[in-house]
Amino acid sequence: MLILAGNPNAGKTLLFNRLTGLRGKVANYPGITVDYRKGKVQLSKYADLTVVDLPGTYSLKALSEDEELAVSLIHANSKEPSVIVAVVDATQLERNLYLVSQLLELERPMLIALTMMDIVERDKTKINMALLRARIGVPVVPISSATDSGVEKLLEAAHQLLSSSQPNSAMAISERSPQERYQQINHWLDGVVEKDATPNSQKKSDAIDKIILHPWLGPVLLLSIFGILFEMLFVWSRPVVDSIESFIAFFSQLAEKAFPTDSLLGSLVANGVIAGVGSVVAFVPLIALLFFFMGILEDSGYLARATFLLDRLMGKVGLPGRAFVPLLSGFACAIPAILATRVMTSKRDRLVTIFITPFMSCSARLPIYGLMIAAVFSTLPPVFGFIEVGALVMVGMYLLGIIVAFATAWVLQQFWGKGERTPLILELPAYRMPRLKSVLQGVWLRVTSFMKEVGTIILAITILLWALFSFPHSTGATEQSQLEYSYAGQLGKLIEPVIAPLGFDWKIGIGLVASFAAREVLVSTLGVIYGLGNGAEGDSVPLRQAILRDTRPKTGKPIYTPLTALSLMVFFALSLQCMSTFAATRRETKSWKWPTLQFGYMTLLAWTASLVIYQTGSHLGFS
Amino acid sequence: MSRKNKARLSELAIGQSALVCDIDQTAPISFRLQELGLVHGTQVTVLRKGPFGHPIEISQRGYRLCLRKEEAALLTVSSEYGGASC
Repeated sequence: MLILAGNPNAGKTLLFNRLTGLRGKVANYPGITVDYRKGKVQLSKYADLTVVDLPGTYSLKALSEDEELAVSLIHANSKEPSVIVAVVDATQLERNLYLVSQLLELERPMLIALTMMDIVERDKTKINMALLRARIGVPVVPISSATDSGVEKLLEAAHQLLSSSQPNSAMAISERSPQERYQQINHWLDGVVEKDATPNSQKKSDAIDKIILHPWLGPVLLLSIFGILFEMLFVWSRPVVDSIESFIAFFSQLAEKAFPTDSLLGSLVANGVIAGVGSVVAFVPLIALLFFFMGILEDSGYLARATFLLDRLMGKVGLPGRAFVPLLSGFACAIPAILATRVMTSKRDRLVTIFITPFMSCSARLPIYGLMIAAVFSTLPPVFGFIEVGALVMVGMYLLGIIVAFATAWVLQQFWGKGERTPLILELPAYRMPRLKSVLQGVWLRVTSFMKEVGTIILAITILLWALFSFPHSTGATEQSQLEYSYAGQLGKLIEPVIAPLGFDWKIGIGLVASFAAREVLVSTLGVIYGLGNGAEGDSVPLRQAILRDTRPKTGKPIYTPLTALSLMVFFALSLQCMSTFAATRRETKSWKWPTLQFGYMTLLAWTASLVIYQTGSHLGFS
Repeated sequence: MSRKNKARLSELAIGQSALVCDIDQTAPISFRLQELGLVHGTQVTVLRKGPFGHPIEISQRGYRLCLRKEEAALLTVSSEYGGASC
């Protein structure tokens, strides 16, 4: 087994990817919420070797969960012979060797993988490998991202160490002070490195940073870049998601026809299982694209700059700059966003971020916003003669989510205080062209682990929903009446008194019941209620027009007025209608308390906000 | 005659260099800062600051690091003209 240990950004992930190709997977250590990567070597000669990629750490002193995990993993696999591969960034030898000085004390078979050698060559820096090896006492293998020879030599060296291995020692790290360790490092490096004052790659990077980190141009650029990114994210994923959804609908109908009409089993297969699997698959394009963009931004070095610019702002609400990555991801889907909070070392920071992430309007809310806007707002005259009301409302919903998220963080800060805030300790690596292969491998890893972790939950929920809508079952009933008299339908009618002050009726109530499992279900549920079938093509009247015709029984006025639509959208903007998110929060916080609290808080907030809007609007005469 | 000038790291201007003398041991993050190389005798140079004066990017021990103002304030440095000492 090869255990990769090293600083963050030292090139560990790249090395792991090159060693394992697509044979890597994300793993989790019991009791610790940080995850790590594990896989088998892809080179056939060494295909039985396992590689474990520890989280990047500066030290083994176990001050955070990352380090706890690293120490646990190193000691856990004592039975299997292992070699520690210390991944050392050749352009930052001093600090990288700190970890090495600790690892050496473990007295395990060890070698150093010296990465970033291509940068070293480009900068015309000279490193005396032989001297380094002699002083430290372990093999040193240079690795350059340009050639594969380093990786092979690494495997050879590791193999040699493994064949002459003794049982793994159980030595622990000594209590030497950082000062003492750095004295030893100075001794190790004496005369080993010859370099230019400021390497070229750094100079270019600094020139770019004059703009990127400019006091006001920097933030402006940040907003623009993320704005464009999100535009691309939604625009590019839409066609793929649409075709997946059409395919699933087609497949589902096919399956239904294979069974006798009105058979429960047929319905379960078509509307439960296939629809469930389909909804997981439909998530994938968006998530994959999101991970791809994030990967590119991270690899190029830009993400670190964004963290630099945002740290102070986020600090005002008690969050670290790093929190913006999960929050941003939340605009696509809260679930990978919540999983992404693992990068934050402070438990408190992670909790706050998980708590507020669902307020970032995720892509599942879009169909609802879209329906309401198309039905009610698109017919209104443009503001100032050219700004579409619909666009304004859309932007408004997004802003609402963001504002509420930060307000919540601020409130939590008042309760919990700043506490142990995740330290900044940020490195701004020199800019570089993102490495496509590595980024894509990362995307693959994250998408597959997402599907495994969350896919099963979504499938289970879809089946549960199906059951709520299918029972009690009356044979021969139309889709509409089946819906109305099912458990879900009864529930919708039951809650009508509670949601009536918000402007909703029992039909919306049914939609709400269904969408508490998954938001996007609202649209298809409303479709069924208004007799349009499950999103089948060839509807004679689109849903957005059908709902406009519906009137309130008591007053005879239309239900879907701009006010009702606004109230509904605000409700969806602020409530947690996604059991998958609930499950993700439970998984990440390892308790039921937090997801329950989150659910309660958001539901209450949504209900109150809709109430205020609808009642105020009614009294002002808008309804 | 060299003039010793003790200050906090957070107070240095962009472009200034100094030697690390002391660190506030009571802060939990101090140990981590030392492990990162900010021990007694390390030379640091302030490279840039963020909007409103923080974060602060410094260069030391062959690499660059960004710290918050309150983190940098934990370090006492000596910037002096002539020889090196605390």
